[in-house]
Amino acid sequence: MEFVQKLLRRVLLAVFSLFVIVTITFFLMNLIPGDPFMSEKATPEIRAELRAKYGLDQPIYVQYVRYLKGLVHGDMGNSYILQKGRAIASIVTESFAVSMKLGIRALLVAVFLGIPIGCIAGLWKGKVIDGFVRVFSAIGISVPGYVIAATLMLILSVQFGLLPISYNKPGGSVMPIIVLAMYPTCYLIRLTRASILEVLNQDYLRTERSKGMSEFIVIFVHALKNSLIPIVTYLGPLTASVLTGGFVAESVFNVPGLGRYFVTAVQNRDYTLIMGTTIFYAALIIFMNLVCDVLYQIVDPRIKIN
Amino acid sequence: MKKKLISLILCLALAVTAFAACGKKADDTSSSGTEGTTETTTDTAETTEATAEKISFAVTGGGEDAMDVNPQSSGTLLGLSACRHLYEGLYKLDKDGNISLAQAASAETSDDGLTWTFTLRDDITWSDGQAVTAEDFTYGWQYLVDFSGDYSSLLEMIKEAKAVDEKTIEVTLAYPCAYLPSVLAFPSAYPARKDYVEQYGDAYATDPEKSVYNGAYEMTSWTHQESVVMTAREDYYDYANITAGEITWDLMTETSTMLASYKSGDIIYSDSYPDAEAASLTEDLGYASGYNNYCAMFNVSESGPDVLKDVKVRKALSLAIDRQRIADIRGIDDELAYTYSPSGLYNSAGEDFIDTVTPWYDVDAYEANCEEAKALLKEAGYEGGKGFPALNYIVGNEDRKTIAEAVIGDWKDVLGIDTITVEIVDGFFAQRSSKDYDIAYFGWFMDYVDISNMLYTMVSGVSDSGFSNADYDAAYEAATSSPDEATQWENYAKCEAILAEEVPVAPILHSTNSYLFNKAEYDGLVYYCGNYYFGYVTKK
Amino acid sequence: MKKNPLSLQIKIDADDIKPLDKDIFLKDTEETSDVGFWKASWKRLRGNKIAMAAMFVIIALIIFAIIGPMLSPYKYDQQLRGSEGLLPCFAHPFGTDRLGRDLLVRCMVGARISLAVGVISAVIVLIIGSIYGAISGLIGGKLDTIMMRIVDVIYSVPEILLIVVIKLVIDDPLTKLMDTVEFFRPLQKIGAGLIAIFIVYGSMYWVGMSRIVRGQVLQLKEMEYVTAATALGAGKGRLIRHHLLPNCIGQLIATVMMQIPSAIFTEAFLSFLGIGVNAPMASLGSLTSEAMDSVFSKPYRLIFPALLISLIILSFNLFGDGLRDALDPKMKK
Repeated sequence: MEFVQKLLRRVLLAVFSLFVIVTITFFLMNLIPGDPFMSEKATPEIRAELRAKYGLDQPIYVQYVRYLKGLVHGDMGNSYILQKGRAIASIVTESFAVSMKLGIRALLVAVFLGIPIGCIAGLWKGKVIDGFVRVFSAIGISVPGYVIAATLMLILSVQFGLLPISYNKPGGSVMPIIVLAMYPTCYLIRLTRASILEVLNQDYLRTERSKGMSEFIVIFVHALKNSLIPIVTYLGPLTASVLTGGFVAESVFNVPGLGRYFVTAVQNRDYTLIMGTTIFYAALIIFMNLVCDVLYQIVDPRIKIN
Repeated sequence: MKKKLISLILCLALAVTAFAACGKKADDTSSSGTEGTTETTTDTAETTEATAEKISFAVTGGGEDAMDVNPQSSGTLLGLSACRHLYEGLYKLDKDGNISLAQAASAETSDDGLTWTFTLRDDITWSDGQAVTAEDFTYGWQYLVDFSGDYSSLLEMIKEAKAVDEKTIEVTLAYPCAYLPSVLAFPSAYPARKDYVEQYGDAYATDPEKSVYNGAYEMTSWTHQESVVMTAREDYYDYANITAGEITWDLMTETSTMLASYKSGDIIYSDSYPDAEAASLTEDLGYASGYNNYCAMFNVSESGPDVLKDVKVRKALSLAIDRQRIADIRGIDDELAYTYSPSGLYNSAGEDFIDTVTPWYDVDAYEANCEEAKALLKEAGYEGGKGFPALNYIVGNEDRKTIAEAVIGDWKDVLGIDTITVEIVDGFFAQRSSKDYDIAYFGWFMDYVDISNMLYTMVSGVSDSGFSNADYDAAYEAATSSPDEATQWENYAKCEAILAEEVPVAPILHSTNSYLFNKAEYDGLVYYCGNYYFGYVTKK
Repeated sequence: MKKNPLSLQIKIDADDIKPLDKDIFLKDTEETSDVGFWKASWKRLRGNKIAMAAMFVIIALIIFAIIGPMLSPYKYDQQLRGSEGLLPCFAHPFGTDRLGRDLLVRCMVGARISLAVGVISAVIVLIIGSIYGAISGLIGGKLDTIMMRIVDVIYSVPEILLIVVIKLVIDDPLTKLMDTVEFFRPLQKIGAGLIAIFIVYGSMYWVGMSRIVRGQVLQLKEMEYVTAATALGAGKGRLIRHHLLPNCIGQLIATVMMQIPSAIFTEAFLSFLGIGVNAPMASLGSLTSEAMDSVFSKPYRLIFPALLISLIILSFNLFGDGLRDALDPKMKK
């Protein structure tokens, strides 16, 4: 019962956070100079007409109340620029599906490459393979995404013609996945390696060994299991960042994902789309935090909710 | 990201040649059965093969935000070009890039030039099978006015347009307008289907099924943010001459991605590319002259900085710009500007307007200009740039920033002014038009090739520089209200002279349009004043 | 004998049953002996080869960024006529750009700006975060709850989106401020864009820091000497300044070290979106994103600044790691 009560409080808090974010974003948005109808040849009269058409000439609080009302009904308005008249909600969900497809694949790559490689490096500490992995992972976490993207494009597509650049061509998702997965993979490698080394040094392993356990059991049953705990806790934020962090990969490789919509929306002052994207991402992050908290509570009752 | 916004030109000169063709159009473009009419003489075998088997390829012209295929709202080069494939007006661009009759079978003009009567072809249909009617055109024009898009005033010379019957349109003009065909060949003047527009409202033409097409192509798919696919319509009257069966328009935003896709062979045409790569792309670039200017504009209005209110300072700044170097940096053979108006504006005697104008300065004598600039700055009290106040030079994008940096480099090296910074601002056009700047990029791409369209931009109350000069306004007024070409030119030249004296802007270049096209393997691209048409593209 | 970690056999080395080294206890006492916090930390740090290497790289980078431009015969905004678009050569080891500017000196100045972005942002984060966290933890009760709710909300904001939006919002007023108020004039050279990055970064990233500080404060609050200080009549301000902050300084420094690369990354990302520093000033982010435009014909223009960014980020990360271990040997990750 106490658990349910706490959960309820946590959900309410999440809704409140979302409301605060909506409010802040809405007013910030209206402070950005310029409007969606600026173009070289649009006369002031035409711009005024368009502003009136979309209700942008009304007082800000009227617009705000109207927006909130719509939001409660799941209506985030229509885009002013992109596909005029198409509902933001459908743009956001559709393009997020694409981002998610890419993001999850990148995440799988990160997990299934990062953790084993990290283990290997940790177990063979100080060997050539460890050195190699450490150098590679260090580079991976310190090169900006767009540099990786440009390099891949230059080498794999232009120079050798191995992979297409655009996402819509067969094999076109390979490069965006590499770019997306690079940072989390390398980060996981380092995290796993550090975690393994930490555990290997701990007393209980010595105890296990002295009890006559085989080295295999010691490592795979005890060391790995325990070293996975910090890694698992990192997976929550990692998922959020991969799902929301596709701006660069999506822009460079023409992926019709949400990140690219956001970049275009910012460049065009497409208020409703910027709002929609921000709110959606915020809701996603809040939701995932909530799920993580609850899961931890179930997995490890020592951790207190809140 | 580079977006070439709305730089549209209706080439008048070409329109004139189109008239000659009016009379004999009927037999010329006849029916779809006779393939022999394709007049590219060289290799007949190849031509027939091309007609028999249509090719498909991918191109790019920009991203989703520029892909507006509602002809009446579209204002981007990509959107307008796509519209030229999907819809068709009374006139169109033909294979050679000339304006010729399209949906209209004939056009008759009254003696006073004020009444035009168009008769539609009998074999034209929308992609849903319905015939194209005169009312679709008059509705489209009304929709254009109601829509309040960038080009809603394009047809302002038309006083009245009425559908006499199913196939006849009668247009009454407010004033004689010889360039009407080029205007009517412009996508904004295309027909629109009332039922579709009313059913979808703002969402009209935002998905393949939300519009209906009367052009050579219909849109078969639109994966948003990814690509648009167009397929040639078999019931289009000129289907036999269309060689491109399917065109995929990839929606890209990064210029480096466009170039990479082009280089890897994914696309055969790209409207933009990173400017910095121009020098390495000479084999792939196509050039076309653009009627425009590229300037640095000074804010001479009340809100502008005091230092720029001194004409000596403005003149010094203008003279100190090394225009040749800027053209070299851009690397696409731009013309150096020594007047506000571009070249290529001819009168009936074939004279070029800028040849009749006194140049503002001798563009080839840069050294001498620098000396003069230094002297002027000294007179203004800023010898060697000492005490020159801090100014901000605003631009709208990365490529213009590079040029602006070159310009302030000249000011620093020649005049010793090192207090000017360059900034890319968001909402650039709004900021400039509200005169909230010191120095700004200014460039005008003419909407139609008539000097008035260029000089209008410096009329009091219109100019973003805040320039206000009664003599200039009087001369402009005298020119535009006169029917006589000689009077017009005389007054236009006067306008130029006043600008040269006052220097509210420093013209830098008249830029060249350029695009990437795989010339080695393909042929037949129609490029017309910033618009592109792929229907006649063939594989070599 | 080599141990195979994957072997199922029980293997006992001679090493395992050897008597312990008699010095092993000596070592332990040495570490805990009363040599002072800083000395001990420094000693531990010196023992960490990677961290030391990273530290020397950082020093080298700082010299490169601060002294480098003074030694260069060129200025970062000097356009050398006739030397446009040169390949790397003796006079210009990194080549020149489209406008004929020496890329080596631009990279130096860019590194200077990027380091400044990193350090200043991190300091802003440190100041806001630690004050906020200390107040919240020290006063506690209702105020603490409210303050931590605010932190929760900011935590769930997709920060990169808001950074872009805030940047767009404050850019304009900042420019106006610099144009009109004489006092801010000198800032015009760096441009409103860069200042906006500091503000944006400071306003979004302090939350992590404040949580750490609050945690430390809560822990320390329970300790006897704090109770003693309170009993002796020390005010809350004094408590913060003299007792609490010095005690969590180790962890703070390490966290600040980690903020630096993250701020540099953010700046590079904003440059990619085209909202970075004002021209002709350069940052490593703006240099790389500029180089992206000519990556096909002149890839070397991308390589140098990208390499520098990576080097800075890497060395700060590694140094930060080492510093954390050195300053707080208990807190091993």
